[in-house]
Amino acid sequence: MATDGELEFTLDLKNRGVAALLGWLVPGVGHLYQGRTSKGIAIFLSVSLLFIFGLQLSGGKAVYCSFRSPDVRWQFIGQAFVGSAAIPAVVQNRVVRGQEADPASMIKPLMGGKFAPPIAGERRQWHADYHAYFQMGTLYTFVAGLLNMFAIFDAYCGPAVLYQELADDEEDDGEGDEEE
Amino acid sequence: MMSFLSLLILLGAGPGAMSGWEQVFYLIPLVLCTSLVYGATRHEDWKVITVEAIKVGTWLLLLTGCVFVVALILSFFN
Repeated sequence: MATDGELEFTLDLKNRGVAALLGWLVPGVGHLYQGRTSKGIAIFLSVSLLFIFGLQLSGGKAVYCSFRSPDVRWQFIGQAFVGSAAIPAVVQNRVVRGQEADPASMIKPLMGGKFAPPIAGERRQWHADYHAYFQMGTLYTFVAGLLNMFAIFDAYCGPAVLYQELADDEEDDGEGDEEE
Repeated sequence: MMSFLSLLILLGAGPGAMSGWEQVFYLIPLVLCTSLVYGATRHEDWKVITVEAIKVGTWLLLLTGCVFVVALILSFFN
């Protein structure tokens, strides 16, 4: 039994690993698996809204995986916490880089180039086409990924403050017992 | 004090600077979603989550406002 504010409830995190994995794949689904429905829906809507809105702002270009100089996409570290976008981005990276390594082959990313890294100066064109909206889309998707990191942590370990309060209460009880 | 701030805002806005003013509205979904998810990952009860989300949202807006004022003041020396 756990307490939060004045309410009491039981919190069954079920299989924490599965919940975290589901939460990584699709934001909020880990919470739905644990039966924390309202929270799962809130997380799903919030993170998905930010992520999709960010993608929309940047014409679907803001999320891609590339760690090769000069295009080191460090923002992908944050975006990768939304697994359903991170997996295709990593696959596209491997496909495009593999094709680039072979001079004879024509570079042809999968799925019409969605989540694919820019090819030979293409990124300059993206900036020219989308102006500040490319950066804005990057920010939105990056923040959405970081928020999902918190959500994954919550699915795996339970709410942060709740358990800290419980630990503090137990410490206080222990000190009280010693004094008696 | 108010007149000084009004002057800063008016001068900072200028004729061309206001063209991108509506971009500030992009902050709203970002602050709403961030505060809601942050609150939800720290508590389990929706009453407490709501209070936490309002607190975090207010802090985010205040912080952003402070950064805006600093950037505005710095822009006068540019």
